[in-house]
Amino acid sequence: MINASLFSLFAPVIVVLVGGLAVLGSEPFILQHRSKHAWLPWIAAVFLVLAGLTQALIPFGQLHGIFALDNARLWLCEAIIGATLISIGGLQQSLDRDDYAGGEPYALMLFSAAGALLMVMAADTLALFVGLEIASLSIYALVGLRRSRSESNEGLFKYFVMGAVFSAIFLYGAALTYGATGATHYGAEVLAGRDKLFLLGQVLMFIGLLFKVGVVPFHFWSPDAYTGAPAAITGFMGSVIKVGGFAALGAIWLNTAAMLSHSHPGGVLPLDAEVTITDKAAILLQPATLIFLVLAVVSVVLGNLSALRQTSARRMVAFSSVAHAGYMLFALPLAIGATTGTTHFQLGSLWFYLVGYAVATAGALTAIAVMSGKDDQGDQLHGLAGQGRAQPFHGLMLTVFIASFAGVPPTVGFLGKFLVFGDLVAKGYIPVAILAMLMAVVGAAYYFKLLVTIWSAANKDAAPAGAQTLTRWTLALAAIAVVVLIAWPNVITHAGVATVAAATPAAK
Amino acid sequence: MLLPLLIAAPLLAALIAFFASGKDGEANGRLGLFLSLAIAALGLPLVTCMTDLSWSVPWFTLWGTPADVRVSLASDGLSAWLIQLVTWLTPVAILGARGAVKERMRDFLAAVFIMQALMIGALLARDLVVFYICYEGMLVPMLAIICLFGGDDRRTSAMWFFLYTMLGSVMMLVGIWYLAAKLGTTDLSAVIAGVQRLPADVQGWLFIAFALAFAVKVPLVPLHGWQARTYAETPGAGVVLLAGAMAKIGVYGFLRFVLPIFPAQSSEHATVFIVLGLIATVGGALVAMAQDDAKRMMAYSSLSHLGLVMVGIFTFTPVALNGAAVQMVAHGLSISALFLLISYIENRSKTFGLDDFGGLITQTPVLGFLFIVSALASAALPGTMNFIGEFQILLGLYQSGGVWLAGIAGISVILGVVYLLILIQKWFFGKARTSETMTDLSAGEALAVVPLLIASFVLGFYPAPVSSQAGPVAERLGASAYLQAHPAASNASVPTMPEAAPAPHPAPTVPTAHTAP
Repeated sequence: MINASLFSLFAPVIVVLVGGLAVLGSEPFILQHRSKHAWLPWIAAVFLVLAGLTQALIPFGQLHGIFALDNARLWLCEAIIGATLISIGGLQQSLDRDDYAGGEPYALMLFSAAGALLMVMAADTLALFVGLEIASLSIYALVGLRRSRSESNEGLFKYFVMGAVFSAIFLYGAALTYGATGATHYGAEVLAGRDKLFLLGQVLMFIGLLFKVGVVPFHFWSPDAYTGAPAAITGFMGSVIKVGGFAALGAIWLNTAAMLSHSHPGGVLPLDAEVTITDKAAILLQPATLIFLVLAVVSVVLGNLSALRQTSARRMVAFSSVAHAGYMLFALPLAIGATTGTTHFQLGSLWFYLVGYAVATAGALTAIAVMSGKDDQGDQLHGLAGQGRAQPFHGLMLTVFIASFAGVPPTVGFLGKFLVFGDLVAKGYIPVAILAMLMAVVGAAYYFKLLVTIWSAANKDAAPAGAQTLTRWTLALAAIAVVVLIAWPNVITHAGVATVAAATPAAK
Repeated sequence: MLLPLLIAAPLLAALIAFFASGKDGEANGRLGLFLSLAIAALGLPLVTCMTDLSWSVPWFTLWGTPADVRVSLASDGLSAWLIQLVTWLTPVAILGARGAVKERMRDFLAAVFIMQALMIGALLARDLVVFYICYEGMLVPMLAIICLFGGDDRRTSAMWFFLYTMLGSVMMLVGIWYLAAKLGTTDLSAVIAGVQRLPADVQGWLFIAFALAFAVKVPLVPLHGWQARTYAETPGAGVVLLAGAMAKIGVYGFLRFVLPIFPAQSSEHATVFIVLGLIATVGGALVAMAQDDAKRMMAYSSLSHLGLVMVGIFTFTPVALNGAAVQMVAHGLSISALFLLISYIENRSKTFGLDDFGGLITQTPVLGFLFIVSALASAALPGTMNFIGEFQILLGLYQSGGVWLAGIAGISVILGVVYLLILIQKWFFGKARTSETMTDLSAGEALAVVPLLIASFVLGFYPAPVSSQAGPVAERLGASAYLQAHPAASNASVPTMPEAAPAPHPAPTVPTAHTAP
């Protein structure tokens, strides 16, 4: 990877941050609440579109081994920007309808997105931590947006306290890893005799990140936080924070595997790189592989079975997001035969799944935000009944996103599951793949229940909604993306895939 | 280019229909009719002048494997004739739906066209991944039709339909991944060539996974639990597509994928399928006699007829395979006509119980006449296409299993006459049960049914187009399984229809020259 100039690499982040500041700066000059919600989201949206365009134009490269941009990172960043844009539309809906006094949530959302962008671009544990905290602190404030409601306060409290504890655990792990390697870069070589220290550091870092993405047993905050937050914020959390967390998790895992295999000495490893795993590294990584598998299976089973029993749409999505975190975790284990010969390892399926999931989650919860009425009171299944008939456009959009969750072709969710599980079968975990597929059918059952509820009940009045222009456009684009993305899965991580035999050289 | 166009055209039609004006159901119906007839005309060259087309473009590489997934499409006689079934049943369904869906025609059209595109895609696909996407995707528009236009119990029946088909096909998906990982390809002809390299027990598991997915869709006993309730709750026009076309894709899956990929396992387990098929065909007919509503009766009748087709397929004899191809088209025509006519009655009186009507022939002579003719076609009256198909299948059963096999299967044909006669007798003759009078069919309603019956009779007297285009393909697809089942049979001594000798050894019909990289 070539060295990038400071400005070009951070241009999209800067645009997003400037957008946040612009929102904050113009907010006092708009006196009416209504006008705030009419103007500020559009300012935020303009800056997000600009950031998305900038992101597409800047060259790939890295900055002193601290931040980097490559093909997979580019797409993850675009997914974050896109999901934020969709969520801004949903937020406008909720705040406008609830007559929220103030426009700072839009700015907070942009700041949080900037943090998530930094998490994706980070190639260094400290850089990652800075991104993680920027993203999290804004999210804490957003979760507690409905100050007067007790479930909102409960969700905020749980999320904040737990988030702080797990951030500290992550930071401690980063410090121990620094002690073991003498560097904060991902995949730095372990110094002689400090293997145990390195192991402890890695484990603590992974625990911190697994909390952020909500994998069982670190998922207990998610149902409460998801239900406490306004639906649009829930969508934002479920998509943007998950992208950031999984990008970091995958990057660190990939780098550690590469470091132990000595396959990419020095430099920054692109996220779509294909790593050649040696026997020695495979033996060392075997316990971690097993733990990932177990956590993934438990997440998928527990998440899906719990979601089956929920009557609140947001709670259902919360448990389903636990299940989806499990599906994504399935991308991490090494191949079963890895100890018997050199094997290749890459995370292409994870990145693809993540991009599709982010768009679908933000879209689905924005549509739910429109349908569930004031203060998201109608977010119970019986409250949503018939809303599809009453608001056919949003019903159709929700249907597309939910179909993507359920993994029904032809949506990006299907191809994501297809690639992740296909990878799992290719690695030799056939029984696990079968179990995961059966659980996906369980998942499909409650998604189906939701869709049947919104479409087939008797007609009733549409839930009160806010300004809709922005939501309509962003949702329509997201729905198109959810279908169209299946045409070019290789675009997202094409570098590691094009050459199966030859490992990609990491850096120069 | 015709092949991708055939998939794209219905999708385009769905878009046009969706953005057409919302309220005017009549105008939307005319628009849908026009679009669907245009698509049907577009598909016509497949059986007339442009047979054996193929088309292929690269799509994506499956990570972790060297497998290149290509969008490869091809048509041969079997695909082409089933596509005719799909494309010509669609205008029929749209014509027949006008009474039931009324002003919500727009939603119905969008769902029907998307389903049509996916069915055509499944019939043309020669890549496992592409096939799976189309095969599984068909569920969504079908569920939409059930949920939007179905009867009172639609939620439960939609749920059953959904869970059965999903559970059936997930195992096939795992099998496709395994094939992709081990063989490095998902192209059908390359898979057929490469699957022999896998260990025998693995082949056995893969066979089960594939067979299960298609057995649910056919359906085959004991996986038929979704069928009767779904057919009963789906509006008649929807059942036309469900029973007339979609169920055929399950049978098609056996012919196109299971027999050629797993000839050894197919012949090894042929007895299981023959027994299950016999249970379905005789049991289905018996259960049909015991039903008290017409839609369920037709659902079990469908179970019975397709059970017979499955028995025929698993004898692997060329005659039976040829008959299976003919019977698939024939059954699609006759069951669609019956379901349409039942739905007309349902639209008029909101009920379709066996004891709800009587003496209808005097009130509605046209409906009665068409119903009796359709029933006779379904019961394989000589002169109809169903007769040709069932006769060939029974002949094949006699050739391979002797008089007992053919005899047991033949019972179902007789029972098929019995339950249909019960229905006709109760509904159209005897005393009227209600004082309400029923109006006879309008010209438009009759127009939806008559072409089906004409086609059934024309192809009954002159079956050559189907049996010489679709039949030989079915025979070729079953040839390698036949050779496995009859190792002694050399090429010369295979009992065969005169015009179609099966090719010597695994003869994938796919003309695409593409092999895995």
